[in-house]
Amino acid sequence: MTSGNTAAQQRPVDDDVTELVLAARDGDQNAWAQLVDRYARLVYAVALRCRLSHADAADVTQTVWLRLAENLTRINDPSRVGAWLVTTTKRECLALIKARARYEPMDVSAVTLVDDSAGPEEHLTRAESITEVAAAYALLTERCRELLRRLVIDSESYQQISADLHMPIGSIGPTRIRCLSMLRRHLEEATSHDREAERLRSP
Amino acid sequence: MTEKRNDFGPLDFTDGERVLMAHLAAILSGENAVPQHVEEAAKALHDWAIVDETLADLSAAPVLTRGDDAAFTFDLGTVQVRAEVEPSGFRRRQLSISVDDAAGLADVKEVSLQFPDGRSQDLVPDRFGQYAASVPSGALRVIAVLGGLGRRGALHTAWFTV
Repeated sequence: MTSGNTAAQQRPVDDDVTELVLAARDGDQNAWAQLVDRYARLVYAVALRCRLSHADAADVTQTVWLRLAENLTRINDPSRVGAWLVTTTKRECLALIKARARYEPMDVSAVTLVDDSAGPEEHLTRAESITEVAAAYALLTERCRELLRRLVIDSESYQQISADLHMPIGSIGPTRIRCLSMLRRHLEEATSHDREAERLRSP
Repeated sequence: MTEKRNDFGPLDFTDGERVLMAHLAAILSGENAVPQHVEEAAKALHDWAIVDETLADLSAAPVLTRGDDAAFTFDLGTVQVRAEVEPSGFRRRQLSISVDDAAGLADVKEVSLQFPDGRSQDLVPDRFGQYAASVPSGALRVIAVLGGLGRRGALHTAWFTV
């Protein structure tokens, strides 16, 4: 691992996630724990975006990590494990929503109180663009993700970020621009990959 | 450095950046909600990858198909495992499981359920050869021990959530 290594932190590609996946694949429990540390919050957040309860989000999260454990040797591109986790979470959410929709009665009072006629699958469709962003976000370096998290969620000042991440204040703006452009590039690649897959599926 | 701020920090974002940041905010706002026990459970799951290696060849590349919305069907070569799910009280599910071999060669010896915390639950077939179980909602998988294939072998489904 190269945590604390400035040169490594500034690499555009998160090489060490590949190392973590390969080490976990070889039975390294510590590498697995680091993967969980890195992505568990994102997986859970994506499950919540599917409008699952916290209990269901916890169930889906557990299933997603089980899926990764049983597929560690089958993942083609370990560097994209973050996106794989987000996509798998979305798929597991949809499976659970579809299964539950059949056998759990609808809460009529809730429907009348909430002015929203969309069904759970429609909600999931609406959330798709957001989960696509989540998948692209998962491909960013740990440093980029930490910077964007602090800007977006914590609305931290540049001074605070500079102190916590040991970055010169003057480099925060350019780094933010690079991180967002990398995020956009990952999104565009995913979109073009989806289009190609769709084209290949078409007769 | 003097800063004007909005919900997403300094105001020097472009419109495109704002859209991306808004999407990120929608996702990341849920990140801090993850309970500690969920993370700890995820860290404990790594051993399953090792456990799986001890199971037989039949477990290779299972294909999950869904015949209907509340049934999970797993095809493993000619062997099919089907789990139908129904509600059974607060956060409990009633499972009805069948294990069949289209080639008619496999003989089902044992069927059990396995849970991520290591617990397992042995199932007894009814007179129709179906295996019923009441389980808590959450993740599980089906383990079946088969004979009649030239040797005794075990297979497992992928983990699924009920």
